[in-house]
Amino acid sequence: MALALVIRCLPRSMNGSIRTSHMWSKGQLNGSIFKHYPAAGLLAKDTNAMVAVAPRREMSDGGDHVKLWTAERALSVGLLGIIPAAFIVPSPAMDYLLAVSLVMHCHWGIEASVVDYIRPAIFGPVIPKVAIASLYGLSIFALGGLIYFSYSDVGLVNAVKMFWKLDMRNILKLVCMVLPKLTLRVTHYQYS
Amino acid sequence: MSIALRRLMACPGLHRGAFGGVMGPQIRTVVLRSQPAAVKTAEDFFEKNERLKRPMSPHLTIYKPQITSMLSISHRITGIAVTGYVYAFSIGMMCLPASFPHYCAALATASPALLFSAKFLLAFPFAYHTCNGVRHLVWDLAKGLEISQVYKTGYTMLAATILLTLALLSC
Repeated sequence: MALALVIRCLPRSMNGSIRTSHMWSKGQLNGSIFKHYPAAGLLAKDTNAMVAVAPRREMSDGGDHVKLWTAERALSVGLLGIIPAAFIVPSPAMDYLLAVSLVMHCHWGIEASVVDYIRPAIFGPVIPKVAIASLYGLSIFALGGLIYFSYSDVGLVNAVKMFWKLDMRNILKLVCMVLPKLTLRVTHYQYS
Repeated sequence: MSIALRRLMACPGLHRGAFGGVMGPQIRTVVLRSQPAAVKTAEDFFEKNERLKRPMSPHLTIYKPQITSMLSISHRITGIAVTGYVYAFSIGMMCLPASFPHYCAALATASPALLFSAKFLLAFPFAYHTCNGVRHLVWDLAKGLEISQVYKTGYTMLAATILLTLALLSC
């Protein structure tokens, strides 16, 4: 806002380059200007163009995202190993490890989606914060639920195995009967 | 105008009745006052267009669906689906009174078609998200980012997903 006022106050007869060099000498073209007004970089060059600058609306400015990003990828690679291992070598420890890593991966994924779609520009200042807080609450409950399930019940791995073993014989019989007949019909069509 | 007339005009109060009323009410007193300029708060692009009630240009509705974007959004959708299953299961089992074997036995009475559909709806999103997840991790190593490679790995990933789904369903 202050930048806009400064631009207005300078006389119109000055061309763009003089105006920008004037502001440069006043030290007004460095620092956070470029962060919030990304097009301000154009003003630093010797152009006569009048640029419409718009501030970025971001929920969280700054901060080093690299560590989180690396942790997310490391967890994804870990999960690629943990899920098969938990089913091949089941144990209570594997159940807890699977619960923690699975819920963390799910949480980070949903957080990225919420941050992408539930934006202040559309929903205003309050709803995005409520959405993120609700996600944290859900993730905490989910993690607690899975740990409780492994502690007092059969555990996630056994639950999946039990559900998968439910009677599928009828469906399989049907499929084994019907599928060969279908392929014969398709490949041996007789042109009359 | 002649010099004499200009001198006459310069005297204040002379204009109303001067020249026998011939000039009439053509000359008025004008007062010039200077004021500080009205300061408008700087309005950004979006605020201005909202104020003018302008419609937004179409974007998602007109962009042609391509395999790149469709695979990408499917990765997100399958991820949200599997997260929904995990969270619903864990929070549900925490809230429900009986233990899991009880509910499993109750589910055994369901029709095989229903069970098969349930298993498919569990296995397919998981398989898709896993295979495409591997593709994402390859991209994070800065490999396979050429468009021809994106297409090739995309088709390979779809084939792997189908195979993994069949493998999971036949367990």
